[in-house]
Amino acid sequence: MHISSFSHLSQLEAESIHIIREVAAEFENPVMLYSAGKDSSVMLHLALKAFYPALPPFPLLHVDTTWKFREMIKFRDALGAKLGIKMLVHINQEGIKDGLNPFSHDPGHYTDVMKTVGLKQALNHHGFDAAMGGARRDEERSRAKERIFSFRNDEHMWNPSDQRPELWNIYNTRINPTESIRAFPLSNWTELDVWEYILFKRIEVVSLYFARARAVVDIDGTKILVDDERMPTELRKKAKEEFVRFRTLGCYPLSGAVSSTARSVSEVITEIKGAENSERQGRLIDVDSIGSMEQKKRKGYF
Amino acid sequence: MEYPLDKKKALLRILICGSVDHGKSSLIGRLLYDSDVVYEDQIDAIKSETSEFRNENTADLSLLVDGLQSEKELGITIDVAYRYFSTIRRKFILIDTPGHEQYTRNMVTGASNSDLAVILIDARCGLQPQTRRHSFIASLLGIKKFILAINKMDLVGFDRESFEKICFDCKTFFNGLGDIEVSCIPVSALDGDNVVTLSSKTPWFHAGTLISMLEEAQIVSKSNTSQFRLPIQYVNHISSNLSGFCGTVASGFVRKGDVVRILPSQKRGTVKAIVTYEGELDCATDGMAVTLIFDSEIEASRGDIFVHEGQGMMEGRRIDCTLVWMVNNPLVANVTYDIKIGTRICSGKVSAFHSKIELENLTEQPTNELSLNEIGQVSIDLEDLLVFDLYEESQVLGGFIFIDRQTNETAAAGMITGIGKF
Ligand SMILES: Nc1nc2c(ncn2[C@@H]2O[C@H](COP(=O)(O)OP(=O)(O)OP(=O)(O)O)[C@@H](O)[C@H]2O)c(=O)[nH]1
Ligand SMILES: [Mg+2]
Repeated sequence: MHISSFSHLSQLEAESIHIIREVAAEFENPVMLYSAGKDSSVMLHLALKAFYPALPPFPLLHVDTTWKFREMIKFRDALGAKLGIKMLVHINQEGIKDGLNPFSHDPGHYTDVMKTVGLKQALNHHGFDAAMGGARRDEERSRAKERIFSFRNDEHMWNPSDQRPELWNIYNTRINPTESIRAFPLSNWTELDVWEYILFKRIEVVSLYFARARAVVDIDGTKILVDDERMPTELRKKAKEEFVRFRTLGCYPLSGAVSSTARSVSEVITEIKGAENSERQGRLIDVDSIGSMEQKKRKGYF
Repeated sequence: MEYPLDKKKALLRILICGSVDHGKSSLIGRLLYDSDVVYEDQIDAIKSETSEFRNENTADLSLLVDGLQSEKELGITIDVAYRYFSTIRRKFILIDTPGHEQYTRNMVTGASNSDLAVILIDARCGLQPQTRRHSFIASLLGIKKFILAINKMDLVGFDRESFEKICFDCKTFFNGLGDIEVSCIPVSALDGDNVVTLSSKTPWFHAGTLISMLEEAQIVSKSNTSQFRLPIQYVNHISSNLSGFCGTVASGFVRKGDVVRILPSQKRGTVKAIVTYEGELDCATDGMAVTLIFDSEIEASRGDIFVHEGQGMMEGRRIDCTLVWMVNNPLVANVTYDIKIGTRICSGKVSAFHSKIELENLTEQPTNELSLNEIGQVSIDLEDLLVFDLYEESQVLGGFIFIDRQTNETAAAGMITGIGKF
């Protein structure tokens, strides 16, 4: 027996590359979900590494709710063009027709229609049999319970009480035609690992993660960025300039900013090490009720 | 700028197991809480859940890991949970496992990826059948280092004699598990004694805290062999006349210029380059995910294995192995299953049952089937020739799963113990 001398980031990296390659090898029509956030950026970097010097043999898919931060969309489009990887964008047109709006509708309902239903529509439309997502087990307690290769039935539902055993790094990828697998290459990464890796590998991420003066409105204790003119005027009037950054990015009306002075990756790392609240605290849709993430995942959320 | 932070921190995966209610989830909650990695909003969430589900006004730390709705309602752990924290010296993955017997297969999932096991033992009850079962499975899966955390010491007045009696009983049992290293520590997961901070209530104990034991434990590699093995995971068609062979090195190392053999075809090739995104490497070792390019075209595909010239592997159409059965339908002889080993899929069926292990007393009994959560020694007949290592030499090329052809379920975990005799 010999002592393993790998650092933790190298080990996590190798494990993730192994997972991504396994998906590419075992599925006929896999896809990688891409949100333009930091976890997606790291996952995409790992996919580039896994197949270098070729490009990854699968497209990227962004489920666009039309309420993402403008900078995320710009970043997404520039990146797709730069890498030459196919970037599929899906918008749930039914939600658009119904005029769903996170400012005036229930955030839970809005998220269900624009994200969960949107994702399911896109996966069904393209016939993807596996979707890789950048979710991490340290994000939330029900995610901490999910397998790396997570079986979903023909309605994309997760059944937490009947998960397949997952032994060593052997993954059971066997499914029937209408079923699918969600694979999570970053399962064992923490928020800090992700940032340390971004620093170490100089991975580009959207500047919303770094602090600067931004116009934000305090809505029930959550700082919401004035990202465009769709924010209702009576809210916009209350906007104040504050030094803030985002720890997690989603739809701008539902993602809270945190007060911060961290302007660079290493300052972000220092800040996270001393943080008192979790990353998800700024996400309105995850704190609305006990066990809400589990409920969403049961319905097909990623 | 060279990366200064924590670069050489190693990763330790810790299995937390033991009998029902002996305090596994509480211990993990305590480790996280006292290491300051629990955020305030998470404490607020479990406080409100403690009052909803337990009708108490404190924060039940086990709720930090028992995250599923049904687990919170029942107050038990049903499936494995993974929690993460690090100290200045190491990054830890804590793998919480269920104590209830019907969830043993979930415990096996956790054990298969762990470097070390912490076994929780309630100081009032001592070694229970389920403690033995978990410890045996952990050692079966190849864990060599055990820490016995004698918990709930607060309920026995931190009594030294109770602690020493349990340690003594355990030693006898653990000696029967073969070549493993065992240490004991008295703790209270509820109050935190000897978990992260040294307790003043156990002045008679001098081996430090649980966290210091975890920081100092040696991490050993998953493979016992130093021979080079690389199962091909994916063939990368880089261009019309150039292929890269991708995979994770299972053991040993390979250098640029090495002559390798492809198993099972026995064909040869010379490694022209070890390609990575960050440039070519001269050498790739155990655990690295790499791409090999050869100096001339070679015929190899997913499931084949690269080895060094003169370092063959075992091969055969019948293997002897230990099987852990994980589905409700019992295993009987002569039913064909698909078998996934390394990156290869083949099929085979059990041709003979040699014994079933009685976990109560670790004796072997004759049997002709295995039911859910039972462990047995069997021979498997394969439809094609299989190239493999023994599990004790290599977990990657000696461990496998059974996949049920009808239900697609993962039906068994298997560990190869030898070549079968016809
Ligand atoms: N007094 C005392 N109670 C404890 C201690 N550790 C755990 N408990 C209590 O024991 C009960 C069971 O604890 P858990 O942590 O849920 O046990 P577990 O081993 O995870 O249980 P399963 O996962 O269902 O097998 C809870 O009520 C805990 O509060 C301890 O050190 N002292
Ligand atoms: Mg538990």
